[in-house]
Amino acid sequence: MDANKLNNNVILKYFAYIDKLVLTLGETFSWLNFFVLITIILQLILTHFFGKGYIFIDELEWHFYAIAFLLGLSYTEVKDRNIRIDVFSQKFSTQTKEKIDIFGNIFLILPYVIIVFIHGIDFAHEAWIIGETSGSPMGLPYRWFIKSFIPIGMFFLGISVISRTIKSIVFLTRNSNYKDSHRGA
Amino acid sequence: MYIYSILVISMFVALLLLLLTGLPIPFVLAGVAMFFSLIGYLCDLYLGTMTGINFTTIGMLVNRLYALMANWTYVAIPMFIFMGIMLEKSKMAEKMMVSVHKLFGKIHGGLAVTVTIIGILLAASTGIVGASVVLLGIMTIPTMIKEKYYPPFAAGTVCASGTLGILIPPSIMLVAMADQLAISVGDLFMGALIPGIILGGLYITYILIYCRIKPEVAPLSANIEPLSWSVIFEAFKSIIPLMGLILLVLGTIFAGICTATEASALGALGAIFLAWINKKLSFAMLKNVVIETFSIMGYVFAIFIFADAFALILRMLGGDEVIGGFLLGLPFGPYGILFFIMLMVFFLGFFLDWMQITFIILPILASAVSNLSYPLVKGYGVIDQPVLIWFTILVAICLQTSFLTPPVGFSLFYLKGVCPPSVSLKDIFKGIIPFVFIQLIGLAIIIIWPNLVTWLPAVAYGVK
Repeated sequence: MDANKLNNNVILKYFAYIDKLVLTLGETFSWLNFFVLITIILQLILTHFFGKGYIFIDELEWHFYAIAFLLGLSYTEVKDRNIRIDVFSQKFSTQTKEKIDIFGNIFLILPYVIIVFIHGIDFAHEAWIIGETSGSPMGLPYRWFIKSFIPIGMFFLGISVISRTIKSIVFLTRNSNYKDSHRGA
Repeated sequence: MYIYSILVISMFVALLLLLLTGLPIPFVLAGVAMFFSLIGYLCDLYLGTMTGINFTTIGMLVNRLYALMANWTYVAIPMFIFMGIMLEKSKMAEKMMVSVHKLFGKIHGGLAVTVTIIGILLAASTGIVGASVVLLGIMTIPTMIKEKYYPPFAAGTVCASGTLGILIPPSIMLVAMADQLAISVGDLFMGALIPGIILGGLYITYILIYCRIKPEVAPLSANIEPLSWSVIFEAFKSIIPLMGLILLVLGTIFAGICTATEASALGALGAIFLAWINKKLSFAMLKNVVIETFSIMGYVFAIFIFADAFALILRMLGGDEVIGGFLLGLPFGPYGILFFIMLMVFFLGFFLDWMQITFIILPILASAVSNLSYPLVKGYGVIDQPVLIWFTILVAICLQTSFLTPPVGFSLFYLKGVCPPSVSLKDIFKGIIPFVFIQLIGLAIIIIWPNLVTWLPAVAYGVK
């Protein structure tokens, strides 16, 4: 079976869309760090030259930053850029590496993702119900908004991990010319 | 207590073993944390322990994650990463390399000295071990090989100089360590400055002495122009922008004008400005930098988040009491315990990088150390927690040494990844050994004279 036929495989195609979505999302939201930069500088100018800082700008800074790192988790996963200690695993065959990855994805990361996703929804929902706002008088009004990025971040990390696992399983069962092509998106 | 000890020890053993499978580090941290929370829950049910772990209390993970999100200090980390990548892409370092090399061209080992200086300046802005070693390696190893430098010597210099960056402020490692221990980032930056300069100075001294004794390891360049005022001028002109940027960042923090987070944004803005002056700034380049920052932020924060989860579960299993009690129970006296802790950090550094050490081990060690008295460490009456600042710097130097030590130091493998095939891992191991000894000398100096750490922050607070 050649790579082309596999790419036509419905499941793989479906997960390729997911990867594409995560990557596009990541590349779009990567600009958040640039906004953090601009807001900090803006606040600096306001406090030092106009003697007046705004609390909501301070809060915007960490809002941008927090959304960036939560969405960064899934982007890093699809790009396969998470740090690994590969001193020993270098010598493993691709088959073994894939098997280890499948184990890690299912038993190590997914339990965390699921638990934090469930609790994260509660966490954001609670903020929504009580109408939680920033503790400071001039702060941002909607805490549920930023808190809901916890389950959102976990959701995207979850589907990226599942997508990678499916691809590893397809690789192992087909076990053909479909070499490393899915690694490192 | 017996069960708790077993739980804590097996949690670490599981972590180390799973890390060696080559799975992503954050996944291993998360998985071990989850697995041991289940074990803790079962122990509560059947073995009468009181970890208090169940599905509701595990929801604390979300609160911990939110605390990381709402942490204003950590906003500095993506800013410093941005600054480092922007500087890298502005190609200033290459320019510096050429002109500073001319300055030292008439001395054996001049190129190695150049590499050390550039490594310190550049790495200061990135602060991630892998990133700075890789960057410095790509940039300088081919030139050194072309100049017929002895490969182990070249590799050792690059590896050590690149790793020194995690100590020299502004370093993101120090930002994270300060936040974990609730000490001021500015104090820690100031505390790290003199030890960092001492280590850099020791490196350069070693390079010059070694090359004087064995000039054949570092031949002089064939076509180097004689030293003239214009060469000196050029060298300074190339080094001043970067030097100025680092001074701006540190100066505004040290003078109390800016917080570390504000200074990091100033640094990032300054890096954009330098790239513009260097005619490298374009929209495509900016986009590149932004995406690369995002990607590095992704894997750095993945480790932060999951190491934090690991630390939470470790704490619930009684890790603080087990490890703290063990350390304080050692019959060695304060300096004996310090020595033992250093040894521990050194060995853990073979498997865990600074992010995991900072989140998991450092708070436990620091709370043990703050129970001990070190009369040599002076706070001059103005520094909050002088012992903690001194101790953190010691841990930082110790970790850096660990990353350089064969056969498992992280830096060595990062460097191997970017070396031409003619440089073997054995060459790197051979070249790094003198630097490991220098590190140990540096560590001893800081232990014996803690004022080298606390003096600068004290002066900044107005002590004469």
